[in-house]
Amino acid sequence: MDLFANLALGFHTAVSPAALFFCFLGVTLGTLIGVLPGIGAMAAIAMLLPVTYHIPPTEALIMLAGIYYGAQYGGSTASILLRLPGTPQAAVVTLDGYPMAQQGRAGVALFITTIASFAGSVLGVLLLAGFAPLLARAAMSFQAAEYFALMVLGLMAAALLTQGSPVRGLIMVAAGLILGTVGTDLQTGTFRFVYGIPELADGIGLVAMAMGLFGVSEVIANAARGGAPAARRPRWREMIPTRADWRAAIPAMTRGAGIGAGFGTLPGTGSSIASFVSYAVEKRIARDPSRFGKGAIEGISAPEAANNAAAQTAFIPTLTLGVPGDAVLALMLGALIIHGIIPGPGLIAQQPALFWGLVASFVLGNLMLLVLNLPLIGLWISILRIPYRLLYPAILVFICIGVFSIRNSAFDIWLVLIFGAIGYGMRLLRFEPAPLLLGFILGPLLEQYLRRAMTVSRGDPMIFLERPISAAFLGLAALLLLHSLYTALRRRG
Amino acid sequence: MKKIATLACAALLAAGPALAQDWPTRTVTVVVGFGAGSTPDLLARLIADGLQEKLGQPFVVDNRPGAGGNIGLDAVAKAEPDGYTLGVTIPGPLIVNPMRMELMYDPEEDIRPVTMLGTQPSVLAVNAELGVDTLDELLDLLRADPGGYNYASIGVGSISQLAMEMVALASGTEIEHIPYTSSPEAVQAVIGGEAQMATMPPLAVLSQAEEGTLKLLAQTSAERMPIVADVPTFAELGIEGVQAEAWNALVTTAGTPDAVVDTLYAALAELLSDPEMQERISGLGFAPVQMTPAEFEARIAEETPRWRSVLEAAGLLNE
Amino acid sequence: MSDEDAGTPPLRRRLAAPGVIGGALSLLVGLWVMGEAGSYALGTARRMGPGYFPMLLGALMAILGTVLAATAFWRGEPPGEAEDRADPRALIAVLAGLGAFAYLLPRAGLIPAVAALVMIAAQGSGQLRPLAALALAGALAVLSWAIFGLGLGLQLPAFAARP
Repeated sequence: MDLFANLALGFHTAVSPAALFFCFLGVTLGTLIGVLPGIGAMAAIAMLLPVTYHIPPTEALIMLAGIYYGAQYGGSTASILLRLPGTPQAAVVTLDGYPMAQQGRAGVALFITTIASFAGSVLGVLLLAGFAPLLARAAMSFQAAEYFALMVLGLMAAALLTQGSPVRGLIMVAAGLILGTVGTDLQTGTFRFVYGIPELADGIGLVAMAMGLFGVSEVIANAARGGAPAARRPRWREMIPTRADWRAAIPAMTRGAGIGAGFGTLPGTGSSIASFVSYAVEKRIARDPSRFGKGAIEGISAPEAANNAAAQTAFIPTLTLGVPGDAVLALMLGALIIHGIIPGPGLIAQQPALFWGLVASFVLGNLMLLVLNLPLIGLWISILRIPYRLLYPAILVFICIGVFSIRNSAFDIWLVLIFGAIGYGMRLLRFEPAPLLLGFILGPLLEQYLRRAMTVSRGDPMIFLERPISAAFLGLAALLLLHSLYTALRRRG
Repeated sequence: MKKIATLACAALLAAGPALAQDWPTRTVTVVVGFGAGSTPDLLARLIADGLQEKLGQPFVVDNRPGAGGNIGLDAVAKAEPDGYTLGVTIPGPLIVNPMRMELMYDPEEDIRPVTMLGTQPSVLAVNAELGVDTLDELLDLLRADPGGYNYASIGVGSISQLAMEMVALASGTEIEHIPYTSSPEAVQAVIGGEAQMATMPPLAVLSQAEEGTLKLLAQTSAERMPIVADVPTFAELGIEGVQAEAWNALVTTAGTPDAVVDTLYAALAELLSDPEMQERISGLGFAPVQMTPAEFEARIAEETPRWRSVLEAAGLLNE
Repeated sequence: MSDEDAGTPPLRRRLAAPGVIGGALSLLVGLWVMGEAGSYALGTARRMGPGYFPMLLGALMAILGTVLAATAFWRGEPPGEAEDRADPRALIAVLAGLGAFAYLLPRAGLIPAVAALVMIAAQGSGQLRPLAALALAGALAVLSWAIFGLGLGLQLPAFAARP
């Protein structure tokens, strides 16, 4: 195993002044993108397109990769401070991060999520460096049935992560899956639930929906009270986590990172499933699960570590299978192709300087992110010093512009309005929107995998139980469900 | 009064060319009906980069995968006809699918063809573990277990579907169709074993064929293409009807002003005749093409009856 | 509320429990989705049409809604911790503000849209005097145009373009 020789080659590539510069540029832009739900990604992509094709492929890749994993760091900031998650991963962090902010512990929450991001990334990079070909092969052996079962497990974890009746969580998942079917059927091109509205042909916008369900409903609930229930001005000194915080957070980060690194190899959805699953794991193994949802530190450290670890291993399918998970990774693929490099199983062997340079840049980039993000915390928490009566109109402006900029569509603002109303109604009826978000993004994929698996089996649903990996995932999902039904029944006596 | 009228006329006349210079003044979206990493996507990214340099505004690729490319072309059909939405498409959504199914758009009325960008052969690849080395052996295998095999495609109406239907026809059995939304996904399905075979662009299968996980049995072009020179053509092997190259073309919304299309085509013509660009296009497995909008429209008209007879032969007309 | 929970609460209160309302709404949504899904081709389990998966989801939603409503009705619900009460003033102000923004942005441009959103939404708290709201609206309008229009180069004209 000449891992060290490879890493030496990688660092040799990654510490050139140009590489360092583009790495820094990438992670800085990534942080910005992550912090601004909606706004950042489009602006950055339009800005970067001209740049990527005219610099050498390694530098272009280092920069684009920096944007991708840098965005994961910032993603939790708006969720913790203002309950504005732009992705399902960030929605998981709102569950305990936002209560922490309301208890005046926003600084601690941001500190811990930054450290968790770093820890998760480091483990992800280690796995990437040591086992990329192995992980790629494992991902290859996954077929429709396995993907379907894995998503069912992820959805089950999402349904059961909140307090109260598991049935409520399941309803939210089902609602998310239903909302995910809005738009055009991917196999036949039939419009479903579109009703002649052209904007719906593409489906409902994730950010518009999330901003309505989380952000707007929160604003409505708090506007009259003049602030979040227990909003307290955070003090600078309270930014540093206590020893007890660390004791709870570090094992949770480790578990989260492990879960995330494993899930990351699934193109596109790995990191969001990993976030929900790692949260569910923390809640199940906690001595007192009732702390979750009220500011449990494990509830932010584990999912944050998981989604960053997954963001690192997500490069495996992009580079070795040519299947990118999102728009930024697709740009990476484009940059490779422009320079005549074809992603595929042979890429690591054929382009060692590129691959190992990228891996080395991940290490440097994550260090930069750590240095970049920790001082920013002071700036972020100062937002909470603004009186709520002045802050919330600004939050609404921010939501509106962000959502509009994604596809320059005023229709999406109407969606924010509608989902804001729905979100407020759900709040009154005690439904938690986070599971809905995961159902929404997994829905279209779940349907495709279900249809494929059933075609492969010629209509026999036993395929999900006959294939061992699929059966194991479904078994776990069933155990999870039974366990929480049992505790729910026992609690009521 | 007369003077004013003359001035107004002059202003109107000036508006034509002025419009052309006014385009593009902002970001142009290039819609691709297939997933990122598919060959239409890669070609679109290459062309978008070139246009951006020539026309000075960002050209952003937007992937709208699904339904064999129909979803992407539908987005182009329904866009404002202002030249800010372009599309890269294959023959499927433009020619084949309108003959096969009810669509939400009518290519003749809603789409304005601009030019063809490149053509590429398609190669029948099978999982190496299937143990067949020739098309004949594959046909025997299919006959031994009728209905027992699946093929992957990049969606309905693509050559990747039609070629496999012709193979099924030649074997006298049915092969189950499993559609994906990009060639990398479809190839992954063949390697993973979800499907056993697929007809794909060379770029998507060559590296796996070199590694030995896939075997290449036949290609769709009329003559052997240099990039896959050792693979026989379907015609050589006695399967007629799929001697087609999968071309990729640039289109826009019907009703887009002539001035805009002229500016766009002029930039494209310059781009596609640039040797460096041609080399990059070849690197993706495409043969670069030069075609005026009129020639392209004539080509579409010429191909339509040909595809109709293929569909008829495969029993796929008006499903 | 907790005192009465010891015994059987009156029927009206049991019917008004969040779980009963939420469950009943879920049931209705599920049934409606099933009805709509039925209008698309269902296909078979082997070759699912566009209606198959939504039909399954509608059924799932309807069943879950029934279970939730029934358990909440018969077994009662544990009282919530932060009982939210509907606040019509904030609800209407915020939603009307968003509506004004969505309506004005394409017609009048960014600055009027932001100003209207802030002016209307600020009424939700009932804690901001008109003059202060006006100042906030003006400041946020100019700021957002400067940051997002000029700074980030988003396509947001300050004042109206399209009729």
